[in-house]
Amino acid sequence: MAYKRMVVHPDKCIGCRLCELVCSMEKEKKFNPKRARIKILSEIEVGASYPKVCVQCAKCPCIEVCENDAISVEEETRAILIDDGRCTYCGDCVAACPFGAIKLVPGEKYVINCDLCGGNPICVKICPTQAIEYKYTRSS
Amino acid sequence: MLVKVKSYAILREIIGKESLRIIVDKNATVLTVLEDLVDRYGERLEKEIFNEAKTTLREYVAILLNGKNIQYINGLDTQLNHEDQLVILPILRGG
Amino acid sequence: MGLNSYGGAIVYIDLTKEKVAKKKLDEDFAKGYLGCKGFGARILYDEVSPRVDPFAPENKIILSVGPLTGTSAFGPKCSLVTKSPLTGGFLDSNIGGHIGPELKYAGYDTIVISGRSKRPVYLLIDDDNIEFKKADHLWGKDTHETDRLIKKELNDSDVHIASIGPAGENLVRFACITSDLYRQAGRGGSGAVWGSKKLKAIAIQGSRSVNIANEELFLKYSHDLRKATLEGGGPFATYGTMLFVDLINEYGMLPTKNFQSGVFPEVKKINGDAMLKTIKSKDRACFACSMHCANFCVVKHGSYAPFNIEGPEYETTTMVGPNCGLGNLEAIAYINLLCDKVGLDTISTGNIIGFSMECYEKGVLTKRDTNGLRLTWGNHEAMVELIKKITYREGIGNTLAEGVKSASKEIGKGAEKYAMHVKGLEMPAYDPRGAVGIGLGYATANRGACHSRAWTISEEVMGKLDRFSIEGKPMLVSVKMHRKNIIDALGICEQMGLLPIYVDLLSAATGWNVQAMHNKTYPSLIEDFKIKNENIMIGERIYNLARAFNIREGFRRKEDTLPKRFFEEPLPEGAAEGHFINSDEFDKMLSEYYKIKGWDKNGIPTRKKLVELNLEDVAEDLWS
Repeated sequence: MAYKRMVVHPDKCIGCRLCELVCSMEKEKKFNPKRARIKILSEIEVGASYPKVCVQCAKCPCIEVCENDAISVEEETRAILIDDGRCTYCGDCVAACPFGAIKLVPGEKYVINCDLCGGNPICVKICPTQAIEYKYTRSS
Repeated sequence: MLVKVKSYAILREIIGKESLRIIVDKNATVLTVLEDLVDRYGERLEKEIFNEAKTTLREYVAILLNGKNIQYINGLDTQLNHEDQLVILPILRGG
Repeated sequence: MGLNSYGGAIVYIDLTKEKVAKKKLDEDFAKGYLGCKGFGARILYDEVSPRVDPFAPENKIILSVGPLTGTSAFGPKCSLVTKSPLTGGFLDSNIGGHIGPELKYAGYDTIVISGRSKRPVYLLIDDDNIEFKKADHLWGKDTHETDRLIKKELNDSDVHIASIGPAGENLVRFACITSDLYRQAGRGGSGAVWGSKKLKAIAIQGSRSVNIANEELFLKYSHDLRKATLEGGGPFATYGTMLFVDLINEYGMLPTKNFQSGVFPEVKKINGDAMLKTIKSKDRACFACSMHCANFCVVKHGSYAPFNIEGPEYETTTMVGPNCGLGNLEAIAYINLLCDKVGLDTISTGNIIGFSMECYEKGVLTKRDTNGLRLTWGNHEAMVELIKKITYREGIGNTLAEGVKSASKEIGKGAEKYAMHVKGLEMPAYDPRGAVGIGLGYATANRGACHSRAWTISEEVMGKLDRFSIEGKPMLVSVKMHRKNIIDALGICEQMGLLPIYVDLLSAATGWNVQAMHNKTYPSLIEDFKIKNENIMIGERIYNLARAFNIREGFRRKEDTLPKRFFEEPLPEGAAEGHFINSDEFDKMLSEYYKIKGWDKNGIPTRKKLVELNLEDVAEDLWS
């Protein structure tokens, strides 16, 4: 069944990090890029930026590797959800994700991942250059 | 009558040259000249000069008639005379 | 819970004793001075006494951010306040990019650095943890190399670093700070102050949060700001400030050959279109900005290729380009990169090289004086060599490293008439004979000749005013100064200006009731901010406080002036041909300005004005 996914266009990314800011505000009610579910990787010297975020894989390595059954796929949006109750913060999913999208919050015992804001991702709304999109793709 | 039009940046790129001479009739206004330009250079030019509703200039565009901002004359309805010079400028803010 | 939207702490770092002390940020202090330049001005005034040598341990370096820093409302600038080695007066210098937000995430609003380290040191600020790290192995390295080495030794590519290069280490009086490779706290010689304290770099990493009083409203206003920016930007988003090159040349006020002319015949080789066609690769943005006006360039041709640079911008392009008779964009970009790496202010560098070239042209400097360098207009190879001599204080470089005011005195033989500065700060890229209001701005800005403290160009060339007349200029400059002080206290960029949405953003962030005051003569411009029930104009307050610092150092009306060239030599060509500033008219304009500001005939803020601004202690200092 077709579903929308997060699609990243690094060539359009200007490195403003507004996505990180609105994400942390939406999810944690404060501004803290380190707690955002999206992260901008930058190579300042060459002026390049890459938005790193969960892209709702068809087959999820994070789910396959989790021994605690703490990760599931939300039915409508296909967002990858983490059950804090079952998560033991072992970090296996962090290592398994090919995009490095699931994060262990530095200095804390919790794992975060993009939940697509229930189907209306706020980062996509704020991005000034549409470097991140939420849309149907051929492979979904 | 003959009117000279000068533009900068993106507009200059669309028009393809720094300045143009346009022949207009004696009742022409600034709006007449802009409509003439849109006729010649199409939607891309129109989008850079006018807002979505096509009722006013874009926020970042200023037009000078013989060095004076038309905002302080009669806006888009400002009457033109032979050999007037119009300059379409981006508004600068600081730096 | 702490103060909303602020980091909540001021940290004092003593380099002599290697000691750190933290102080909680007081809410009244925050309300009174907002942040950035405001915090810096108050602390500098209180803690750096008159006649302290800028290179003495008693001078302080104050780095501050503002209430909007680190939020989705644009406010990334970190303000560096210190006593300038160039002017001996107040200096505030803004650094964009991403380092300001990181300071806020570490939990700080302000760092105050005093003393002098025995050995080269760099500071590591990692949340609560502040360390003095050895920097002997970094001393002598350029800013890019320093950035790379510190990231490597900390094993952390996310840390943000501000550093000096060899120019700051060698106390070149217009040395700057470079951060994130391509951003600078450029003007006034802050790099030399760091060098005098043996402070090589500051590395910052923060994992704390910024809390907001009213989150939902704040997010809504952030979306509004984004919309306003995208709709109001136009070609500015594509060209950045390179948009100005053609226009300022068209108005006949583009500094050319050391301000001998206002028109550069080869302008098409170095304007915004030339940049887009030849070297620009992509757009980049400051932290949280939708405008993305920065031009990232990849230079593949010419004798200096290949290299990358974010820039050059208008000021650098004009001062290093036309002001030095240079019409080669690749060479200008390379000189920009060189200055970024060795840590030199590109505006002052372009100005002082232009000065040297005019001296060379007129025989005041000979080949013997220049150690064989042929300082002919547009000779970029000689410019590159001269920059190296300045950085390492070799030969003529040692004289020029003192800044154009001192250098022209030392060279003598009439060189002083070729020195374009105000109070010692080298003049930037607008010829005041083409717009007399910006001349008043140059004369009365707190830090010396600065174009951005009262940027009057649009109002003078496309407004109701006559750019060659003094009419209306005193009030215009006064409004712009106050406005810019709010912009510099919030740490926002002036390119979009002080938009009304910032009142809403600041109110939603802090929970305060912030009000905007409009000027009667220029009703569309927000002149100042105040907080409801406290009738103090904050921008005016900060401006007067910095002014008082200068008054205490001995500055008076006679320093609020312009180089003689602008009063005596008419522009020879272009749209402003024949124009110069009549010195009687200038005096009249200055007197009118003082009246509007509530200053006496000497340019000293009156007791009445200071008390009105809740600066009673300053009034005591100046008037008892």
